[in-house]
Amino acid sequence: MIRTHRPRSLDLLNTRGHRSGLALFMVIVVAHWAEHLAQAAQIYIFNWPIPEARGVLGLPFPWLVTSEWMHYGYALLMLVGLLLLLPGFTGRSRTWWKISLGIQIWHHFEHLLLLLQALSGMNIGGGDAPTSLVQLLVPRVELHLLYNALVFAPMVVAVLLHRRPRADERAAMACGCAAHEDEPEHVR
Amino acid sequence: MRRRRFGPFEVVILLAALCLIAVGASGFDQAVRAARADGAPGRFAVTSSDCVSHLGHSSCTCLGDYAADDGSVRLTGVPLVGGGDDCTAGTVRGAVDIGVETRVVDPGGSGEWVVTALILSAGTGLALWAVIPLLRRSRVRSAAR
Repeated sequence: MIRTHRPRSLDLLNTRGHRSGLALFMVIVVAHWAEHLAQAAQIYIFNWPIPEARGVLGLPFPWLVTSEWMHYGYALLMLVGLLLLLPGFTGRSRTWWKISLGIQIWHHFEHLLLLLQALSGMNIGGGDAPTSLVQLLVPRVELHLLYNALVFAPMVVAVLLHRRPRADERAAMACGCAAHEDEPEHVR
Repeated sequence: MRRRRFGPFEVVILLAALCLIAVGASGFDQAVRAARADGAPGRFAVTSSDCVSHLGHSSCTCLGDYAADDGSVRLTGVPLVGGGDDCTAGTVRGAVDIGVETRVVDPGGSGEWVVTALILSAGTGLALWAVIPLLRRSRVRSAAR
């Protein structure tokens, strides 16, 4: 007989540790957004020269902006986080979290496609440069933010539904993420 | 459901939200001009490109010199925002000066309004989240009368 055991740490992450893990993951995701938004505001609202516009953390740590591995590392972190935290979701929130995960998997497939073109020297559509499938519709420059937005939106819906589950969803939850049951509001 | 109250944390979030709204509002006029390519038309001569490379692909910004058609404005070493990312040195493209010294935009306009819209949306969303307890309390009070 073959017995399958999920790693104990994964069980822990999706039960007692789900709330903390999810909070940490969302802090990283929101901080990433805030950095992008800060950098964009420096360029497009405060009119800083592009080389000087490095977001907030990029000012003391310029390598955060220039490192090409940071970009892919973050995308990988998103994928791993979405996968690891999935078992803790139930009902509608699980569906939305899966949508976010699906888009992130597609994002990685696009990266793989770009990498294969760069390595083989054969480009989609016979173009001069490696092209991703979505890039045939959306310019390359805006793609990064588009993917982040597409992954972020269903993630937010999933978290909100996870915090406020229906009774059947709450019963199936093994974590302490749900907001507490009704308490009367004190009107002073 | 446990009701959130309007406490010190909500005050801090509200102040941050108001800062975001102020920043977004200050860039509104410029974002509209950039989106409509509203300004002095001219020519942009590409001198170099500034590229960010990721695994298998890169994203480039064209840098070059801009001269307005009427000769009123000359900018050197500025980026061209919007349009394609063909940055072959020596290429001369149309561009519009929207009154900003740090860049010119493609005649088709640029999408930088998205940044302003995102900042305004984030500010408005955070402000609404912060004042929800106040709104809820006033609704409960009016219902109790």
